Amino acid sequence: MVGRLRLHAYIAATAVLASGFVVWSLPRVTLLPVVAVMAAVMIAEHFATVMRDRMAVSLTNVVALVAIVLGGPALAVVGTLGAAPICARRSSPPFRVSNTVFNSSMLPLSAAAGGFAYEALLARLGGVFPDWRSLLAITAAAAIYSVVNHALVAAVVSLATGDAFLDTFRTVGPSLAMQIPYVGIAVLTVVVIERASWWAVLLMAVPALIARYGLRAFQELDQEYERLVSGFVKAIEIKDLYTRGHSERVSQLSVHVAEELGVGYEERRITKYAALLHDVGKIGVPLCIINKPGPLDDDEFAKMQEHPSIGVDILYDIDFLEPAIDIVRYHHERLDGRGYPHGVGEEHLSRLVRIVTAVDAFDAMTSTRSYRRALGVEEAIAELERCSGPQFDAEVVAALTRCVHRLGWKPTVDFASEAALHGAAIPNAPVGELRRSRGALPMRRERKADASSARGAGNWGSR
Amino acid sequence: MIAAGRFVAVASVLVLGSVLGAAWWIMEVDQALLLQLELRDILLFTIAAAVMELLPIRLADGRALPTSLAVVGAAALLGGSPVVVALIAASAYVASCLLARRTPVVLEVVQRAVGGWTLSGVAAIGALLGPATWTGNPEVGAAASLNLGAAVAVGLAVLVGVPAVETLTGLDTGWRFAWRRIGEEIQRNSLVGASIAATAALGALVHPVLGLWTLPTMLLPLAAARAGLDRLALGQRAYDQTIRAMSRLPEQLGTVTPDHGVRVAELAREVALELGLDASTVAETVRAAHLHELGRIKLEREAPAPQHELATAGADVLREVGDLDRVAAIVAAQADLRASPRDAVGLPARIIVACCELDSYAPDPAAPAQRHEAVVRLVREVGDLDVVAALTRVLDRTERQLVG
Repeated sequence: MVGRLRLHAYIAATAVLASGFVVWSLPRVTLLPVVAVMAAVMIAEHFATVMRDRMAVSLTNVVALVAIVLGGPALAVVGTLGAAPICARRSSPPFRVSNTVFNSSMLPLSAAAGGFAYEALLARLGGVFPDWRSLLAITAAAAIYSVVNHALVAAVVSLATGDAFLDTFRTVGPSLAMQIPYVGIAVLTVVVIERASWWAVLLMAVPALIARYGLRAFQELDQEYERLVSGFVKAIEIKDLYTRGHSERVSQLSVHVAEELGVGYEERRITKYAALLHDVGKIGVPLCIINKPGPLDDDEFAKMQEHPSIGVDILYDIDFLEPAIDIVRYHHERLDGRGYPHGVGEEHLSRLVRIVTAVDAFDAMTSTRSYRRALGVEEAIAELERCSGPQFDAEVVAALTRCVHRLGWKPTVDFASEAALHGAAIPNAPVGELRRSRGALPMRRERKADASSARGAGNWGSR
Repeated sequence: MIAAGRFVAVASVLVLGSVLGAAWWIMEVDQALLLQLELRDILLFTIAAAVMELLPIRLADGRALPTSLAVVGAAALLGGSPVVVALIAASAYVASCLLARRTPVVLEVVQRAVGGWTLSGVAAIGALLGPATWTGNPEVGAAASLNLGAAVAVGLAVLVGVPAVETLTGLDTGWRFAWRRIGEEIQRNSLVGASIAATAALGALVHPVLGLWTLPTMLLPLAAARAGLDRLALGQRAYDQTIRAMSRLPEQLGTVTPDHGVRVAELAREVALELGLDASTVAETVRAAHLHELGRIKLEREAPAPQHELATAGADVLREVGDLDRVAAIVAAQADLRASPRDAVGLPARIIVACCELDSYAPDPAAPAQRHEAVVRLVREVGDLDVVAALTRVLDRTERQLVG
């Protein structure tokens, strides 16, 4: 309650301050330039592209800079009010008023800060556009505009969500680097408007619109691509009763775990695709082995062990998945080097591999398989924790545990597979037996001695 | 024969370009485009063009379009003589190769030089034909100015001329369907071309005001366009490569020879081009060819699969994948070729069945008897003489070594 109050007080204060600047500016501007700048701001806001990583790319700050140089802070302050209708249209009912009020007062405040900084610097340095002094002043104005903008947003985010102010404000770094091209485009626009004519701005709009078109089309294609990849997996799961939905779940949970571990956006994306595709190689394993009720014999298990390598064979020349290939290749390896098919040690197993390995095992344990019934979530976690160290990464298992509890993850009881199981003689999850059989013997020898139990113990996971 | 055709194309482009370039000298002094470029400008333009050579825009098919054309175009619009513009274009290319530690290719150097030479002449012709130089607002200082006729001419050269020349000098299906190919190439290049043409005009426009600062600022919007288009191409490549990876799924079942899907797709692409199909149908044909055996993952392992069952199962799988409806339709049409009309679905289906049959049978190109038998089989299986004829032409042309 107190938090709400503080948030509203902050938004009100921003609005009052912005109104003050607007009142100060109004007598200092003429109608036509204001209408032009407002229209430009509206267009820029309307065409703002939200990138996949929640970064918005918009040219509003370029418009503000141009307004600052051509008509001083007053023009920029009044002109940026043009964003208000777009903000109102974009925000949804419960917070519509507060969102719109905040967003439409934030831009004039940033514009005022940048504008006064520009005028002060220009007066001090004594530059005339477009000499280097004026360029310096414009650059500084752009930086100040950006810093104020980010500080205002970070404050509102921290009041609304309770996140630390600095966490949000940190994004100011990359955005400051982005100001350099923006300054260049602003300078170009000023020259074109001042020395040529407004229509020549269209020459600049062509590449800008094409850039936007490319990004938008890329995003649409990206979604289509995602559907293709999951469709790809669905096609493989057509006949495999027990792993249906497995890849999708492993993918979802892996992304959550990666997020929990602070993995960056691009790597999370890779994890998502790799987790979706990790079992693609099972297409090369005969169905009678995959769907076999009960334990596999040595030959069958050897065949089963090939699936990570087959997956790599299928996926190797998709350039974009290159960083994901290792996840597919190593998702049945163990930290102590006793996994399959390569038996490599922890130095080869990246954090992403460890995430998918643990999540794969977790989902396999918590869903019904042809060779045993599903374990409960807590049992599965206990098993993962017990195996962390030699088999799983302890840090990953801890993150997985937090995620599973936070999400309220439930074991997957697939009705189709349950029905199939009723007709077959399936052992109940043989945890106790597996624990005993793990012992101190190296896995490979153990497997020879007692293939079924060693396999179950050594490689929790989708076989 | 094809080689001779290509030689004629290249030679006529060279002659035409040289003649067009020479038009620059016809201009009277009072008609001349703006200022002549000074040595300092020439140097700066060369550096900028060299940098842009290193930042090409990549298309989905892997080709790279040089954005340095924007800088070269601006130099032409500013009145650079054919010699100067050709020098800028060629030396920028060489400099970029040295920077990237690559060996410059002589053909590329000649291409750049002729391109620059021609663009300069084209700008001059535009200035002769078009309206006079337009000058902006001189009250605040140096005014921006641009010769509109020249700008339009250079724009047309970039948007239409360059793709047309690229297509004509690269045609390997002979002169048939040349117009369609040129049209498709213009369409494919239109976004990049528009960015480059607009940037060249912008650079020429602001050069009188910004002088030294022209190049770094004018190229910024182009760099943004490049970022957007590059991402798009990356996405398209990922999509196509995933289709290719899917073509390997049936191979893992052991019933199809390794890379069968990839080979059939390559062959089907050439046959589709040979038959003059439009670009989007060619693309769908290639996708369907990659995935034509996909039905095997649904059928019983190792059991012999009759054509119609395989096709129906494949279409089922593809429909489950989603977003591949036309590909699914092409695969489904393989079930009964004679019943499917000869349209954008039926024709690709015939092409794929023919290519698949040929790849499985794999006649030795050196043995005429085998070749004859293959043709007979194809006619019997596919029942479409045009498709079989196109396939044999492709085989003759490429002397493809088929692997069984």
